[in-house]
Amino acid sequence: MTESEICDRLKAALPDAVEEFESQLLDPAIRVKPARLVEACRFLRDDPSTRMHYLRLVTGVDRLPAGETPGRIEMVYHLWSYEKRHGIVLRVHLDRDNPVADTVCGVWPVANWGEREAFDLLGVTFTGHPDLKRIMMPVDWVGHPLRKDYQRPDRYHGLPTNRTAVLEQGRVQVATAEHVAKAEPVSGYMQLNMGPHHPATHGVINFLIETDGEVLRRAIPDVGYLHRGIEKISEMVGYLGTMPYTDRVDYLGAMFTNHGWALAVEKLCNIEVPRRAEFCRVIASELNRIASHQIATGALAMDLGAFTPFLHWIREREKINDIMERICGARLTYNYMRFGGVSRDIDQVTIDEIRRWLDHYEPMMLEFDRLISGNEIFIRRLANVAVIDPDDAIAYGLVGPNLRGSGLAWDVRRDEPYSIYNEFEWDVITGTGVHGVVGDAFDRYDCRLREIRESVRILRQACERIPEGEVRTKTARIKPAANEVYTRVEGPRGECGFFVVSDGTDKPYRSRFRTGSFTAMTIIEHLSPGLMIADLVALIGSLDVLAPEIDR
Amino acid sequence: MNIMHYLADLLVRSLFKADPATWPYTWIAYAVVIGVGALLAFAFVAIFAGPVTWIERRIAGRIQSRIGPNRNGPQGCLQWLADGIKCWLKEDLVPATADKPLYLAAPYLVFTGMFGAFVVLPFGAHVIAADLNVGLLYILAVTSLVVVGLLMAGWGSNSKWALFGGVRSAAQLVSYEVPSAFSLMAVVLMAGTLSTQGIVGAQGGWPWQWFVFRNPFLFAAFIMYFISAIAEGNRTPFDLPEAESEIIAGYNIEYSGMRFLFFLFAEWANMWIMAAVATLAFLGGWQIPGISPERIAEAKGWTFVGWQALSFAIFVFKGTCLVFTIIQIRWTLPRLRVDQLMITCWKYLVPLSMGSATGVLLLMALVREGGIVDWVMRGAMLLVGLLVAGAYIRKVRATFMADRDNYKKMEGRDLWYPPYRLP
Amino acid sequence: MVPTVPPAVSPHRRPPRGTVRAYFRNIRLALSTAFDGMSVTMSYMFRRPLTIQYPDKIDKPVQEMLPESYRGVLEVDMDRCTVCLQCQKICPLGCINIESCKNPETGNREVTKFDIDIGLCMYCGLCAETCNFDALDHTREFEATVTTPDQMILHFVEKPREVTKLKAAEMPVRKHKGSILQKMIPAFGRRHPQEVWTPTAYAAAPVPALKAPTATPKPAAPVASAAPSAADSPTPEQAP
Ligand code: SF4
Ligand code: SF4
Repeated sequence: MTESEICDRLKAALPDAVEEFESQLLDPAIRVKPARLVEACRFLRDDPSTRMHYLRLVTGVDRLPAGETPGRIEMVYHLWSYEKRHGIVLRVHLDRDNPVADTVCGVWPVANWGEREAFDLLGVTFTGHPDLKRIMMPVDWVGHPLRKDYQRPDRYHGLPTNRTAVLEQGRVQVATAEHVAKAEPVSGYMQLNMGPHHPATHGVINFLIETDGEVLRRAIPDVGYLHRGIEKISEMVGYLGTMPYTDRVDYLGAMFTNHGWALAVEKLCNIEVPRRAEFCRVIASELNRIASHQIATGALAMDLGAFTPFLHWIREREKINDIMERICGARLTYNYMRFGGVSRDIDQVTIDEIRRWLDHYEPMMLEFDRLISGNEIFIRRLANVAVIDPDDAIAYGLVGPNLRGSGLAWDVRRDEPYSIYNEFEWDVITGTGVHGVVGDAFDRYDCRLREIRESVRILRQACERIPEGEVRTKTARIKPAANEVYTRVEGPRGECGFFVVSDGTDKPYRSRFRTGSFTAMTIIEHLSPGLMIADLVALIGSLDVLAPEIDR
Repeated sequence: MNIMHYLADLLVRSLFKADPATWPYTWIAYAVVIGVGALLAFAFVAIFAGPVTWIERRIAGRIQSRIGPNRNGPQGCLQWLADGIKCWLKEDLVPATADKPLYLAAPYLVFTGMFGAFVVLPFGAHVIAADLNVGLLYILAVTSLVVVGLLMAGWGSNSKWALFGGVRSAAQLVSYEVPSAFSLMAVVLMAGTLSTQGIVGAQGGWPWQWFVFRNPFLFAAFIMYFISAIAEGNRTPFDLPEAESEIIAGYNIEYSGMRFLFFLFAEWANMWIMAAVATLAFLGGWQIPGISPERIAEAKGWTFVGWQALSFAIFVFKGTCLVFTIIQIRWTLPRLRVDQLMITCWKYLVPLSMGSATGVLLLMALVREGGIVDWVMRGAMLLVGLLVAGAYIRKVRATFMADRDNYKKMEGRDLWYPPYRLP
Repeated sequence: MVPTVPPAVSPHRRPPRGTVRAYFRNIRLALSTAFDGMSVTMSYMFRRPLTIQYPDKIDKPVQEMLPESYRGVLEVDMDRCTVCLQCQKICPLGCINIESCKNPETGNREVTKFDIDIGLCMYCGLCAETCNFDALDHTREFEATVTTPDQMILHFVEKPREVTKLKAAEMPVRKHKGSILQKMIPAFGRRHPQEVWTPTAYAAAPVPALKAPTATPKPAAPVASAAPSAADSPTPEQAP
């Protein structure tokens, strides 16, 4: 169904809910009445012709009053149906001074954190939300940073918030911990803070866990320790200036955030990408995917106590880093993509190096299987643990290998094609439950490992077929007209989406990065009861959550 | 006659020209010799546990395609000394809310438990502190003291993670005592004695005289003892009490400085004890191939000393090989989960080790020692051992060859880099 | 099309648990897979380690092992800079600070300040990419250790100097990358490409002379002399 058909369908069912159909946008949106939002959502989810079970993105945009029009806050809901392969954007306009909306947590549980973020950063209150509190900013923070008229405080608990103050002081001041006690009221069970500095949390994430001996009663993730406000920064530094910042969104898969951002702006400005540049993008991205999956699988093994596999993968990743250094000059923060191409060409020497590395790498994968993935202890630690069934996976917005691990064959590269991925021969990997049930931790691990093999396949073909030509089209100044766009790429942690609102200036009006880890975290609280502490570690590792990607 | 006894008597005879049997002050001489012996044993522990930390790190390094510590002294061989001194100089922190007496005493208790076992380890033909007639039982008993120490450390730290570690280790050690005792029981049945020297004496220098290759049940008992020994030593895959990715460091999380060092000291010393017990019980101990214990006992002067040294070297060599295997296992396998740990013990090791002890008993009743069936069995088990070793070498070689040419093409350098080439 | 969802419980690879066969199969699998893994780890005892023994036990400095394209600390060749301010505009962080004015006597444009705050820079490469005159570029230097935060601001112009009026093709050749930086931070001016580099050589290495001393601006030591704590950090004058 096209968007207008969906709109008609909604109008037919709930005639008074639809306010307007905004078809001029790149992603056409239906504006609904705030009071009828939940109803409309539930209808679109359950109606047999729409079946939008997946809430892709929930976010808000702050519109300052301009002339006649009063200020407003727009809540934007991107819905998608895996089944019907169509999507729609819902939008509600809220009063800017007192923005109140009904929560859609009851329709899609994944909305929980998205709404908390809107509450935190935009100040929208959601009635009926189960746990409405700040998520990124400290609990005692004043103001809502993504409001357009927000004034940044100079100091927070005596810490300077800008560099000039640091330079004036002549040294970097370290916080004197005014730690906010997070523990909930005593419940009769042992309560523990697992993190923020815990070896298994892969960065600074905190889990408030409540255990009965070794068995968890629940684990509540607490994030925001790595919040750098990249979305706010992007509003200040312009389109190209945001490119290096997207590296920092997901430092293990910087190529993908680069790619997604480039796609978004290219779509806004209608920029063509030369063919050789597309190949360069694919080669760089797939190398990056291998590197990222290596960290994910290796770190999972390390969390389960086997240190060596991790370092063997690091050894291989080192070679990828060397190649990346040749391609784009950096080992981690690539900043490789540009609007209309890539920053540098990949020369023949590097392509030969990639080929030689692939020759070396393929036997290494078998070796890794022998070392760890075939190991009986390892299998028993992961098989049948933390099973996510496909319905849950969709409802909680899992994406990428986590979703495919649950048996759903969905890969953005194949199903919503971008770049030139549909020219290559490769397969979408799904979990098969080799050692247990479909959707268990081992499946997610296994999906990643087998995806590495697919990436190797793509890389071989891309290295073979890369054409001659330009790698970057000359672009005029990036100044897209007012519009909205949502683009996505398949990152190592799943769908990596970029929602960009432009307003005719050379800076994005609002941008929102939809990352796989952010939604993956929401399912942990749901899955944790009954797991053991060691299983929680395996769950976190198998979901491959990455702190900077959660917090952005 | 044990060497210390002999030395003490020698002291009394030569220095005081008295008969040690009647002289009233013999006990002083004994006490002095015992003290010196204890010091020597302590020195051995220190000198063994120290460099083993360095060796383990070097081995782990190579296994992980790294180098490991190689800066401090030639090839980093003084690294352990530097680490030790560093720990010694560090502040000995006691958490404000800790249960002080328990917290402070725990490391010593752990260490005593480990150290006590050294008394009955037969390092050589006559190099043993005390050849107790309940030697093995003594080892099992005294190493159980460690549990108390770990529990005290876990509880006394007043940290929830430490408590997890302490309780985990208590559960683990108590459980794994059972299969390890049963596996050793098979040996005790064969040797007919609990004395460590007696068990070694019941074997011989050649591999077919070792208990491990005597019959299939003892072979199985050896493997099971080895597994439960690793578990008792809190080593991967059974290192749950100090699982750093789950409960951070377990019972020793709050410790610092010297007390922390004592825990590590105990861990590495324990590794040696486990290897030594496996050696003496299954691998023929210090027995020199082709030289009977009687010949050693009859030897005089330098020949006697030479035999002692040789037997000592053989024992330490065998033990070190096992220690290497434990290290390699640690850097290969992932960790079990708590319930799996218990399943491994109670469902697999306990019944199987009981079975093997029973099997040994049956074979003893049915098969005459030295008879044709006995020799066929020994030959077959030896063959099995050789086959396993052969398969191992073939696999290692195949793994190496799979990468050799591609690596050369990629890096332009040879992949071959044997362990004796020290970077 | 509905994405394929395999059955929730896949056929087990193993026979169901609880049988005697499964019991012994578990034992066999546990032992054999551990054995397999150990043969892999053992093979690494005979394989070349990956480690590069940075910084001393290497044949040549790490900087020379890096590819030309490496994005290290920035450097400006003031002989080629036309003060077009493109780099300053594009930098997302604003770490480039350029000031210029007209000299009232000669009437020429003079650049009075060209500062790059390498403590703020994120080495994204946008500025180097946008410079049309090959004046601003990344070097392969990365060991920019200094003792105070203000030393991290590199001053590429010490005294006001005339801005070049030449076209890109007529400009003097770009100085060897890194040769300007080596004068700026004590830690940079330390090595000769051929000699095996040791920490002692690091301290004692002479600063290589620039290729064309006449063409350079003032090869003075602006960084350290501007810093209040210059006394405790060796300045480039002291280094040779
Ligand atoms: S360095 Fe390049 S871009 Fe920057 S002002 Fe000079 S010439 Fe212009
Ligand atoms: S590299 Fe990037 S951050 Fe650094 S000065 Fe250039 S544009 Fe600015």
